[in-house]
Amino acid sequence: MRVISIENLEPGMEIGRTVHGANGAILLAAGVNLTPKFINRLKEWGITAIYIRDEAIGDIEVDDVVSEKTRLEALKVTKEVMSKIKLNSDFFDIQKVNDVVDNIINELLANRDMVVNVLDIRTINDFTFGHSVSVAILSIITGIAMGYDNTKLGKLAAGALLHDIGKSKFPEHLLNKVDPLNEEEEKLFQRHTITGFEILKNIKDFSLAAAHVALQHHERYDGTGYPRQLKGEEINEFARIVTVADIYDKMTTSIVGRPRCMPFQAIEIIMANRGIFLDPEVVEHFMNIIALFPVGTTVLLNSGEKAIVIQTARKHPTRPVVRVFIDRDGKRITPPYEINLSYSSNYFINRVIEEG
Amino acid sequence: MPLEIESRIEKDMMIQKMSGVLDISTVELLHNSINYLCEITKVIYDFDNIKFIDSTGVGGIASVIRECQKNKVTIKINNISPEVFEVLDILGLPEIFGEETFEVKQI
Amino acid sequence: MLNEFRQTQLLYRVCSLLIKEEQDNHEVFNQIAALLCQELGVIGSSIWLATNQGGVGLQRLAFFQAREELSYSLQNLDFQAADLVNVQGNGLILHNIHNDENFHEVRRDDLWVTAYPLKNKSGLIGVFCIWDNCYKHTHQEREDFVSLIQKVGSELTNGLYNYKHYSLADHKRIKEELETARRIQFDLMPRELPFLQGTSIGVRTIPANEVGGDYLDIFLTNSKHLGIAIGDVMGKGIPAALWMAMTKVAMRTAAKDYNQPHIAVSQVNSVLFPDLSRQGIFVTLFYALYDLDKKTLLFSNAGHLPPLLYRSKTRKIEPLQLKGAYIGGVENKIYQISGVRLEKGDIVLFYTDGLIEALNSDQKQFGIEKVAELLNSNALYDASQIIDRLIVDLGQFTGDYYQTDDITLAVLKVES
Repeated sequence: MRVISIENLEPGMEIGRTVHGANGAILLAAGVNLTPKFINRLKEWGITAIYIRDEAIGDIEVDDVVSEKTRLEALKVTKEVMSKIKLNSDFFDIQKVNDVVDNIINELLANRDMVVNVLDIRTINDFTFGHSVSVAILSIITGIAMGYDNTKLGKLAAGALLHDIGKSKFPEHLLNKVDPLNEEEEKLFQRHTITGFEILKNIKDFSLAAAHVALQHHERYDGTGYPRQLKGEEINEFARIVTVADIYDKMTTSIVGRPRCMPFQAIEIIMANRGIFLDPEVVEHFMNIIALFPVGTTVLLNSGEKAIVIQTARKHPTRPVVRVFIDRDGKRITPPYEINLSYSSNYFINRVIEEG
Repeated sequence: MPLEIESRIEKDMMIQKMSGVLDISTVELLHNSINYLCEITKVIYDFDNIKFIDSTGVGGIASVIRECQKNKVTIKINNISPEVFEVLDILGLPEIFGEETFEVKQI
Repeated sequence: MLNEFRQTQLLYRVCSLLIKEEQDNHEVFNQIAALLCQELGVIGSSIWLATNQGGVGLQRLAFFQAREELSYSLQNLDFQAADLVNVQGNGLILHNIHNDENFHEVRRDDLWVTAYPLKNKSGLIGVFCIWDNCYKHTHQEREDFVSLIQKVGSELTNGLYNYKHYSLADHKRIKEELETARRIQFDLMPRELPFLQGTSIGVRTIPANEVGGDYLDIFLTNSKHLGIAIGDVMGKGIPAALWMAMTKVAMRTAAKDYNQPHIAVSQVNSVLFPDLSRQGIFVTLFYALYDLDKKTLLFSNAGHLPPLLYRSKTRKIEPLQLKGAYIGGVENKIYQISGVRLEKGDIVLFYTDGLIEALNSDQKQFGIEKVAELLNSNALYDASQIIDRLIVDLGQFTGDYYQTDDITLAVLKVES
């Protein structure tokens, strides 16, 4: 399986990972062969790249850190909760949230050394829900790396999953506005932090620390954030984690008017902001959990050969195992062979080939 | 971008107005620019329009200066942009051939 | 094992295939690989061509696997065997890969490889591998096998030479000179870095399409001092590569004789000045001596771009500024010395102009500001990872655009 950008899709290619819509519905299932109509639809949905299966390169498994089932469940619950709040209900079923959060935590604890390898393919209109789930997953993995116990992980996860709940009350036409918000709209937007906190703190059994994530996830480590310009340790630790996960996820997904960053680029921006917007300690843990070159990425090696990343490890973030499939002259190599870049120091990645 | 050299002679002085880039692809032109040194006692290179210079280009300048100095011809390079001068300066050209040979553009 | 007649027949068939070989067509090598597998009754065979593209070794011309179903991936092990021969220079003859730490896959106690280096007088031109899972019983059988492999190997050497030569002639003879220059340059770059406590180091060279004269060397002058020398010879091709070799020898000798960087650099200048000035060539050279205990970095500079020091505490870049004429500029010059004390997390990047002058298709330079920024945004990695990251960012910037200058980097990072 490999990632290929939408411009380079051709009819007949086989979809490698199912593309889901906002509520978890299957839009295009794995195994389906692309037709011109499907390709157009992907474009309409605002999807910029998908996984395709390529027989000639052989099997490449892209293992998500959590199962698809759990991810979809989380998506459903988030959507339910946010829709309820939107309809002016002050109540939602916290048990459902806790259950789904527990599932994620358990799955993540089962593969501790895993690196986040999957590019989350999302349609443009489900940004908030898909985003919430991803931020929760990234936050939990960071929490695990920081040595959190189950109780703490549960609170962190609930806070992360619902960090944007205040946006339910924000006018929808502004949420999807392409142009920058004007001053008044921006003020209104910034209130989603306070709104979110007020909703969550009134939910019975919802941890107050977790509710603070909604309030403080736009605070910045150097005190230049909002709503209260808190600084450093004044910001709740859960919020400091979620801020990093939030920024990373936003950078690596495309939204209207801005192309997505590749993981290694996003990590650079995060690292450059350690101690400025972001908690340096959180950043140090976060950088280790992300695969700089996720499985399925096509790279150009210094030898002039093209290869697909097939395996990544925390210890060697810049040196994954790759499968060489196109030679220096642009011809297919049959059969392809693998190079573990962490063993072969003569070889290195020259660049990522986006077009795939 | 290629290199263009516009030459004129005033009495015993040769003025070379250079524009473009001075790199491996154009350095030959610089070498050729001092083929007719007889009767000339002073050469001025006007670098006003030199945008970029690489290490081969610097080598070319060095050898032209050396050639002139060997033949007792006074040589000056004028209107050097600060960026280009920085390259020459890091390499130590003013130290080797005399500070007076190089004149940075006044902005 | 084949009897003598069959052996001769096999050799004959290999030869006739090689004679038939046309121009750029490497299909013939696939046919040979298949033929060898069938005739020798082995499970796989492959032929690799040595190249110096990108500074690395080998390109697989042919691979054949006799049986489809194997519990391990022969094509991956095959790369590891060929790469090993390329890096170490000697062959693996009837080599049992069981428990060999160089083979990173399922240990097989019945898998044997013969990876035979194909060499002529100019050096390694390819590798030829035979894979077998049956144990050659008698001493005689082994001898016969090896001698046959040698015969086939010598035919393949000629075949590969012709193949390579033909494709070179195709792109003008100049390419051959380029290959030679690349090889000289590649051989002169540091291979094995000293292992140091509390300090990480990394080096990298990316050869350009036209070979430049970048020079880099890293060595311990004694148990407490690490010498790092970087430079650039004006010019390209074989002359530049030869001057690079001279500089390396002169620098190493001077570094051993003089423990002060500026005296060592002055000495290099004294030694090289006569020839350099006569030929009108110059060499830039920056030499730094790092005291591993005191964490001081003393340095002297002969016309090279100042390395960048990234301060972990302030996150600012301090270039190691120090002026001095290039080597070959002023006779008997005594160079200056300067120094800094490094602290935990500090990073020093030594580089040649190819890095900052690399162009993209819009003719924009990568630039020093971008490099400085990247040091900050990768500061938490170790030295070799920082290099890996810089290279990818550079590659992302330049894209497919044709690079005319070598890029050489060395990174020193104080880890504790």
